[in-house]
Amino acid sequence: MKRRFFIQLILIQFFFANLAWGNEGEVKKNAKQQPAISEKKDGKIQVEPGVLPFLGAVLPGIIYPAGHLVMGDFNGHKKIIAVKGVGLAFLLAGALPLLLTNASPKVIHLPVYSLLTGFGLFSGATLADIYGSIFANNPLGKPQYIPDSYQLKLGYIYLKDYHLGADNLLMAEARINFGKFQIRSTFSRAVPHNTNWLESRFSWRLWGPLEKIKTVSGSFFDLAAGFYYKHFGEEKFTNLGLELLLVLRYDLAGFHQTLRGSFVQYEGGILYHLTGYEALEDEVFSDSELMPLSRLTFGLYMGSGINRGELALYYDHRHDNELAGTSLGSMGDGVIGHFGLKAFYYFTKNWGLGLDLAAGSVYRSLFSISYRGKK
Amino acid sequence: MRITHHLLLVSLLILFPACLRPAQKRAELDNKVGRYETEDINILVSQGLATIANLEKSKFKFWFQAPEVEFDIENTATTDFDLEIQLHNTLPEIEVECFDQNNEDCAVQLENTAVPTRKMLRFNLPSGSKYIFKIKSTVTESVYKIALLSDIQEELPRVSDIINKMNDQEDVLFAISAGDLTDNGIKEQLAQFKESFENLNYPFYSTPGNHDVGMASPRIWHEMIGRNSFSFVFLNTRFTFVDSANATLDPLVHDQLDQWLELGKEQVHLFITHIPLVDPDGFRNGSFRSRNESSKILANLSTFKVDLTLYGHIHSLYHYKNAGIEAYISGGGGGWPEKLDNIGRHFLIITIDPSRGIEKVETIRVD
Repeated sequence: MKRRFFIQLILIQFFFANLAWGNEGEVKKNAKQQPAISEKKDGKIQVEPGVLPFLGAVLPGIIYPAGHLVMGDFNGHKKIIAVKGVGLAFLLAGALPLLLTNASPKVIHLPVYSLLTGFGLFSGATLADIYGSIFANNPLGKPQYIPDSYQLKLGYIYLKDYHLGADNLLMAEARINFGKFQIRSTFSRAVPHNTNWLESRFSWRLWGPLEKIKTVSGSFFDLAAGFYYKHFGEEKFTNLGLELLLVLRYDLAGFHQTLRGSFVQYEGGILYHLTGYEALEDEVFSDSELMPLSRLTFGLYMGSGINRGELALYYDHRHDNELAGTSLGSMGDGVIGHFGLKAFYYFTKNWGLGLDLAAGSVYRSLFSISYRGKK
Repeated sequence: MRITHHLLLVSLLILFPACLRPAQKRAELDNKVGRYETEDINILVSQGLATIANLEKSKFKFWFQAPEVEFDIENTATTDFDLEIQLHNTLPEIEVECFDQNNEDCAVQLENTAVPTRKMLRFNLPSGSKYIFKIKSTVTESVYKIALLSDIQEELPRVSDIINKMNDQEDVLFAISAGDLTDNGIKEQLAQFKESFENLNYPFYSTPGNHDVGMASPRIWHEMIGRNSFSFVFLNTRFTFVDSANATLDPLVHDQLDQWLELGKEQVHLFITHIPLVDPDGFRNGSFRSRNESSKILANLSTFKVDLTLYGHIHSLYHYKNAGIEAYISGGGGGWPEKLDNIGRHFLIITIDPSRGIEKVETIRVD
């Protein structure tokens, strides 16, 4: 009963998030109806990105993104402010029940998703405004229209962590596509500690590019289920996680022309997290809890065709991994999740490099080398 | 375009403000509590379990953070001193042992005052001598009770009815707290806390909550209350308080906790901290910032067979188990209550049998 309730909540918030971002086709239609900016013959819009629009997007941007306004793109500005407004509405809808009940567990679940969705829309609008104020005329890349059949990755993770023993880990990852389905498994092992993490995720693509179905957009929508098993040898405990989530990427070329080359991605769902302690010999996993999952990404494509990649900023609300929650030295420490910057780029047909820098309760640097191919 | 690319990079760096050791300053200051050193007089409180304030040249005020405290005072001047020490936050019934560096008894006068938790110590300290004092409880009962009250916050001006109800409880020896005694930890509020709780008939020992240190200078708590993280033994029961006001323990506190757990492995052991290691509702996440850190601490508490974990922060009452250890979240001091729980203001009375463990935990409702 409880699980069905949560799935419904996620679907509802997803529905609203989609409404907020709009539909690609409708946006194109609206753009034609409201030619606030002129178009050249080649279809490129005539705006003037630069320092002033950038400052307009950054300085008042958290509250009022003004980059497109300074650029003279009034239509784009209106859309961004509208998303900002919807984000604010979600934030308020989430915050009010929490404030009125001081986070009573009887009402907290839906407001948490509403808060996170609101934060995603609110901050995403500002990031989109910043992006447009810099790259409106010259996007750095295009999305990948046909996914790779498989990808193998080897990586090194460095954790600046004052609490747990494992600071250096080696990781190996395999990702394989089978039509609409994808399996991804990651194994990480600490050196020299006895700490091992195995994470797997199974995804079902409901909508978006597939190996044999090329699309004109980078947008996609996946349903995913995953599990992890993490053993912390030195600290003498083990975690088991079972998760269910939705993954939606929206290619912002469909939202407004100045945002070509950028995307937002939302991963949301629920996690059942279990912990077992070596000292408790009679119980394998004595502690368990349900936690919300929410990862909000704003990214841009780099390159196109063979030489391509992505650069993305993300916020991840999960508190069960090594990054967990962030402290800012304030009264509210621990509640918010972690932030990161992720990038990868394929320099050849098969070989690419990746980097993931993130900060939460630890600093994490992940360097990786990838091999991709066709079956 | 290059300028804007650089500006973008700078903006990205600003997005990473995370602080890995937000409680470092407080953990470092802990080691300075209970030390007073001048050219004439040196005072050292064992394990830093009392703050020292110099009122006048030969008058001092100690604020105790434990029922039994040891300290030594050395006269390094060329003249004798007639010293007067006010002892605050003591058990109502105490005795004092005093001896010098040659193990000879010294003459010391212990006086009661109108406040049951305040005593006066008077003695003459000859030049070049060092006196060692042991303030001890006179309690002989094997089974005893303590009270737990946390999260008073903005209701501090209206805490008197809780104190009256706490005074009505029989056989309670002292109170402990998981913090949030004040709304934002400024000097005036901590002074108000101390003044209000002088009406409590027994002492009150606490670690800070996020409200006590989040906004204020970390020095204020140290000057007015004492250590943030500390541990004491009373009647073969160990009470360990650790500072989790930033939803994490500083690595220095982790090291101290490891030592206290080792020392307490044969004792009944209560672990007290403000923010729950695990919130029973993971959606709310009123817990440590990292589940991995929580699990590491819980694994240690479980290994060393801690008997009871006590938390505050969440303004309601929850009873559950973490790592097989009984846990209570009790934030009933009045601060912004959780709704829809039918709990309201409350405190706990914990009955301890040092030879057997935790005998009983009762909830006393105030409203």
